[in-house]
Amino acid sequence: MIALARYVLARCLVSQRWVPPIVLFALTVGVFSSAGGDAIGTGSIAALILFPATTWITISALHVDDISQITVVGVSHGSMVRARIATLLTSFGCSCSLAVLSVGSVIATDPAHGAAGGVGRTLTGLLLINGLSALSGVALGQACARPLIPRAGLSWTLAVGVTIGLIAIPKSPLILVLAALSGAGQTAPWSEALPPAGFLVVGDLLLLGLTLWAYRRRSP
Amino acid sequence: MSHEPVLTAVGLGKRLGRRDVFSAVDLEVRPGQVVGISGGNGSGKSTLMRVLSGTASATAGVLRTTTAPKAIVPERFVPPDHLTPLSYLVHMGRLRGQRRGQTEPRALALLDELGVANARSSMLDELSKGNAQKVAIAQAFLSPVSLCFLDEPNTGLDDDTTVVVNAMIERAVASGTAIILTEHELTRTIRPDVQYRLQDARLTEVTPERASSTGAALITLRPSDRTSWDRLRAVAATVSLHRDEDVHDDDVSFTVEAGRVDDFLRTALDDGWSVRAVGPVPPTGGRR
Repeated sequence: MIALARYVLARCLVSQRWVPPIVLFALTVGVFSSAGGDAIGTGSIAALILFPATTWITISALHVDDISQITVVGVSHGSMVRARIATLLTSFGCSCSLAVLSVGSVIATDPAHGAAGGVGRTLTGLLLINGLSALSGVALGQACARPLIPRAGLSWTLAVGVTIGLIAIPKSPLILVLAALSGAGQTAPWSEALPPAGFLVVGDLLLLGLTLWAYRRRSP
Repeated sequence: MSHEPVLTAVGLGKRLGRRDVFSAVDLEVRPGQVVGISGGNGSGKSTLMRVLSGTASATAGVLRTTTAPKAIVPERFVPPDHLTPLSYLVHMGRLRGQRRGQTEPRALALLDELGVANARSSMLDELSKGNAQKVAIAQAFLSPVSLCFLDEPNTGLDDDTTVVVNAMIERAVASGTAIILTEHELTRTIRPDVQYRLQDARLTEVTPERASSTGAALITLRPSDRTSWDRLRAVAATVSLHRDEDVHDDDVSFTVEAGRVDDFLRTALDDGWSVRAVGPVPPTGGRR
């Protein structure tokens, strides 16, 4: 698992496919942090941008190798599905690293340093928002990548379309859950935020499970 | 060495659309066994290899394989870009649970043996097709594996390298690795223990009688002052050679696959050998 994560990271780093999503995310965090607003508000916007950034990173990681090399890695790793899961976990890990930097940044630039709603509450809210955003990004990236969507152009078009739908439509499940968690990160009771967050986690895991099953059936 | 099968396929089939790529494939592979699968272009050899290696699913039948480490050389290897052969091999070794300290010397030795040591710091995507194929082969033999799938491993390789690859296969087999290899015609590879032909979606075993009737010739040569072994060895990739003490002190007999006899004789005559006899192989010949 660690060896495969190291390999995927090395491949993504040298191919420089990580640059656009991470620059996009860093710019967003930088711009909104510089305004010096409250941590949970700024952090929620950064977490929203983490979703397309993670989708981008995931598709890049899954597309970085040719099918023949994916075969070599899959057989060497013991199973194509296990190798795929390891790649997805690597993407999730990268997103979580970005999230930690983002959370640190918004708390540092908040004049109250997240103390307005309580530091623990703010921190928990931000970590949950970012974690959910990263998980949804990985699930969407997996669903849009090869071989489920065999053409790269279609992969990106579908990913961009779904991403815009999920972050631009005010009543989309992702927005509703992030808004609920954002409220809970300030003063609202957790009991209102956690059930929809749980539904989103279950939905993401279902999507991952279904797409991995389909990957097993359609693997190269 | 365990004698439990490392791969068992029962009634395996693969259907793409309305076409059966193969059906009712029964196969059992044991440790240290070499299984050869030949067939024409588009006969389904690579699809069968993908199914056997677990990288594609079968549409019928049951496949059981060992959980021990496995390796594959795919039919068309497109090397990852922006990586050197050495760094690539180190990553592949780590994937199979080896440490960098173990993998790096082994990788360097394999690159040297395959004749790509001088390209070890070049980028993989800058290598020629043959050299990229050598790196693909090197990754398969990096560490001991239970089962190795070689899908047309000699594609793009010159005769000298074919000899080296055959020697690598021999060493792997001696250490208990089972090999499943495909080629259009199994004339440049080591002689398999069991040979199959995939034709019309059916995998049929090529019986020893049929193999010998289509197969090898026994060629006896006498060397001269200017004879060279190197080129002859390169051409004679599938040859078992032995001195025939009964005939003449210097005479050397070679067993050569049918498809390579002309090349072999031409090379031998060019290099100053004298042809003493050409005939069928007696039935008591060596395994390979």
